[in-house]
Amino acid sequence: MNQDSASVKKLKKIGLVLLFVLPALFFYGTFNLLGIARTFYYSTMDWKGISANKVFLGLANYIAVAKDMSFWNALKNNMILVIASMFIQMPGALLLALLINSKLRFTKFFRTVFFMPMLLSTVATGIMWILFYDPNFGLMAKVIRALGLKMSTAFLQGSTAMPAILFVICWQFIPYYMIIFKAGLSNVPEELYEAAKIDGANTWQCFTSITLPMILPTMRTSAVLQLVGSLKYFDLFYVMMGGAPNASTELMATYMYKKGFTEFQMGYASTIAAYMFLICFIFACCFLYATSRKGEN
Amino acid sequence: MKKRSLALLLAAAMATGLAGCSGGGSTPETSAAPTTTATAETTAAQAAEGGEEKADDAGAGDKADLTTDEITLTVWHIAIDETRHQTVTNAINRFMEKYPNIKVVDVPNENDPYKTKLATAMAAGEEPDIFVSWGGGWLESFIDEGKVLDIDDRVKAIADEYYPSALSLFQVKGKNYCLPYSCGPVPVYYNKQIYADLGLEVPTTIEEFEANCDKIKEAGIIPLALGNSSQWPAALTFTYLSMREGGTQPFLDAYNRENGGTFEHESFIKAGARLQDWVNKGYYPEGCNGINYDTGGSRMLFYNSMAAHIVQTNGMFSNCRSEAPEFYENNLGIFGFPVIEGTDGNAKQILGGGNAYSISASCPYPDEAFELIHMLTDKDFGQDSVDIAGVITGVKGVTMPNELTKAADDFIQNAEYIQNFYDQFLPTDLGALHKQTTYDLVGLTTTPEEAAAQMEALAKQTLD
Amino acid sequence: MNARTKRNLIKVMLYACCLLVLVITGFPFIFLLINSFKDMQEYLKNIWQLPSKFFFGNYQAVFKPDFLRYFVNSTLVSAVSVFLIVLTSSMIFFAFAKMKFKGANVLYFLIIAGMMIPIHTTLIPTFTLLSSIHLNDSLVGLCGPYISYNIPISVFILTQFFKEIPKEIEEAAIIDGCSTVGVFHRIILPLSGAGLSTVTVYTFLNIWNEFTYANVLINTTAKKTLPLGIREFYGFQSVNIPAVLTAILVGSLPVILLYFCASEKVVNGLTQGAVKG
Repeated sequence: MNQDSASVKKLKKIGLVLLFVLPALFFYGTFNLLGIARTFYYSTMDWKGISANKVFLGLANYIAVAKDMSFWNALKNNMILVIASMFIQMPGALLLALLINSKLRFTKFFRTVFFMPMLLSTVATGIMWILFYDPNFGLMAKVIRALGLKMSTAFLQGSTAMPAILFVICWQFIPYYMIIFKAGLSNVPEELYEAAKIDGANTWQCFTSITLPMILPTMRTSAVLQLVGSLKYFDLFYVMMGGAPNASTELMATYMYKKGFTEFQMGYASTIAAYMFLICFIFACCFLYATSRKGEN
Repeated sequence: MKKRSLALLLAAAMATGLAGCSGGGSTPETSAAPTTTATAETTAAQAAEGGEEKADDAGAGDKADLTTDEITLTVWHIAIDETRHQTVTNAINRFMEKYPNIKVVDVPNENDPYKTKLATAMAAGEEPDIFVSWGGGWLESFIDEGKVLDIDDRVKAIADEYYPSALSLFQVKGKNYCLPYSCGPVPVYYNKQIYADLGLEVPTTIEEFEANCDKIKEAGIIPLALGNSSQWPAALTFTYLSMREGGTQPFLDAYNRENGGTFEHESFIKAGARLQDWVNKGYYPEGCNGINYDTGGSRMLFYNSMAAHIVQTNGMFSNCRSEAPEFYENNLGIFGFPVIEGTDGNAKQILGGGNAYSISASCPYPDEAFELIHMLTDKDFGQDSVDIAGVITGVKGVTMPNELTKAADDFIQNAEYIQNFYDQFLPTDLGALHKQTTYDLVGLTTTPEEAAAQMEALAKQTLD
Repeated sequence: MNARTKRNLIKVMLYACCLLVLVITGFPFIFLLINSFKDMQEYLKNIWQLPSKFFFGNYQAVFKPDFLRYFVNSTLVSAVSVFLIVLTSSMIFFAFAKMKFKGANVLYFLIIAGMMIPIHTTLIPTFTLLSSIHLNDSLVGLCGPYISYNIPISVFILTQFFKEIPKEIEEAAIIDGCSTVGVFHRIILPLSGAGLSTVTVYTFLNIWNEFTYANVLINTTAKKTLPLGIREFYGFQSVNIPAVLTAILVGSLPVILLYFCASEKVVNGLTQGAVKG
């Protein structure tokens, strides 16, 4: 009797778990899992990605990618992107979030306008900034000329291409993290500040002892999103470099795309994707592990 | 098992040229999926055996030979802008009027995303019946995988309707896999007003051209507009320079790995050196590697008379006509790329490129599909194309509506050889490297020798 | 007195900061607006000045039946996808958070791993799968990858936000006799307002602007989404930039309005209302 009710309870629990888990797993299994599995499967093949003809290679592609200097160079560029995201976007977004969370008037209006870059599609952003950066007609070039500065107006080439694109990425993504931080800030109970004020804390002390610890989990989330997002980033680098990034602007994802869809080496491209997957996973896990001590009680 | 027998059946049907008549009564929508895989297998099998006999290629069938069943043919093309799409629609309407039982579904695509889309569809075995390509290495990749129908005999039967140079532009390994629907030379576009103001003569040799450029530069005008962000625009100039230095043979030898040909041939090195010389002399606008052609950067320089020349594909005609009509009427002129005296190159060797229709190997109605691509590229279409869109197609018997298109058409007619763009012509990875090295040359981050050595190293890997 | 001037000074500086950021983030929209009234010819002559005469051709081109159709399609696809993403990912996140079951950690990591895969290698498998069940070239089919590729990031965001919910509230609810489903419905969902709104905004924008999958999966004009429609102004070799810009402006306006109207409610209303109520 007792055993029975226990097993019924267990069954019920399993049923409940399944009810909550299955819908997401259905979508996840049909597309994501398939995509991941297929990528790893293709990565062991010599496959053009045009017909069904494939030849099994084993780990040959993995060795080839590991020896491919272009891949390492792309990884290096990705790391620059990661660092820029972490150290420019995060503080920038936090400052903006504090600004729109302050007791100024019109913050709703400010917030909406601040968020607008995020609303534009990448193509739009890309086209606009290509125009802003045009060496002859661009806004930047006009400003530089008006100021009489003796500097080159060639932004999207050579060593200036990377910072120029990074600026646009910050422009586009800071608003997004601003909104996440703002959501985190709204969760900080007002009472805490009031209590701190009574204890005689100044604004800076309030910030370091209440605000920062309270939104630390949010920052951790954003950091992981930025880490993963930067490691598999594609869009603006592809669009702004005219579909042909070169050594100084090639990312892992653009390199993979080039190999897979313009040079028809889909097997090799899948291997690059597999490496990207592993790198992202390892980085994200390390980051989560390294920061978990503080974040969780 | 069922799939297998279907494949056999289809193989038999294709061998007797009856594919179009098989499967009477069944709607194409329901039969499409299994047929596709089956025929793909068949062609792959044929290719593996090395047997290419497509027996009974009686050429473009008469109306009587074609199916009377209700069928559907899909066409993927890239004529997305209004005028060009109009010409395609007109041709399709003419076809559907003639063959009311055949429904043609056309899918216009944008140029760059189209490449990804077609490759994905091909990989999934869901390719359209008819698709557009640029010829060369890109098409060859699909041919090598048994995805493209061999229509050599059919094309030969109607070859006299097209300029031989236009057909040869799209041939792969000496065989025809497509019919051209646009075929244009790359001329040097120049601003007639600037030439008149500075009292310059249209140059025929590179010395004259450089002398003109020097004068233009002195007058405070940029000699050559260039927006090289996407890497192909400067490749046009590089290709012309290498052809003028050494004629067409060094490139073909290097590609075919014949007669000791190599990409380190002096014509490539000299071309690179001259290109860099032009960059150093300030012939190009500042930051040209960062200027985007698509968003108009280089064209703005040209239209606003801030730059005197631009080396571009024939697409420039229709661009200019819609974007700067006054300029098109009054200022736009063209001349052939200047020659270098005392070399193997000559003015009749031109650079060009365009688009052509191919039929998928999986198309269950090759006869009907061929008739369709024939009508999509015939004289009526050619006339429409120059009249409505200002695009030359490579079909004979078209009356040119104005001087500029006439001049461009003359290039095609008089050409002894049209070289397809190197990046289209070469296998895809080599083509990409060609663009990359040219970009580096313009950016002065490599030397002509180094660029050539890089090309040759990859060529050894992929072509030998 | 002195403290007051100091506070005012700080206020002025803060407003100045706001204005500066306002210009940096807002001027592109002014740019879009100005150029939407130029034709390509005038655009090529002067990009930065006001139009010499107002040209409405771009708006005419944009407000064609086709374009409205794309708009409806995008709205449908985004709404359905976002709804299902929020529903399924909040459910699975609840299972992770509140039901201790075997393999939860493994499953969580498996799902998070889905964030790491670059989309371009998934194109071919997805296309093959959808065409084998005859769902390619259909809006329903398009929702499939849209939902699944947004689930990992949604689950991740929700889980992270969830950690901020005070445990006491939840325990109180259980003492009050809420069932598991009740806890999810009445406590967790509203309390995760911040997380949910973040997920909603993020996935909606992702899907609203998504191009790669739509390009590969959709052929029929009547089924195109807005990003595909915007690209129609890309010509054969040239681009009608003012028309593209107009399309972008018109396409993003509803999102801006939606955000302006809804953000306050979503972000503040849900969280604070729940805590105070």
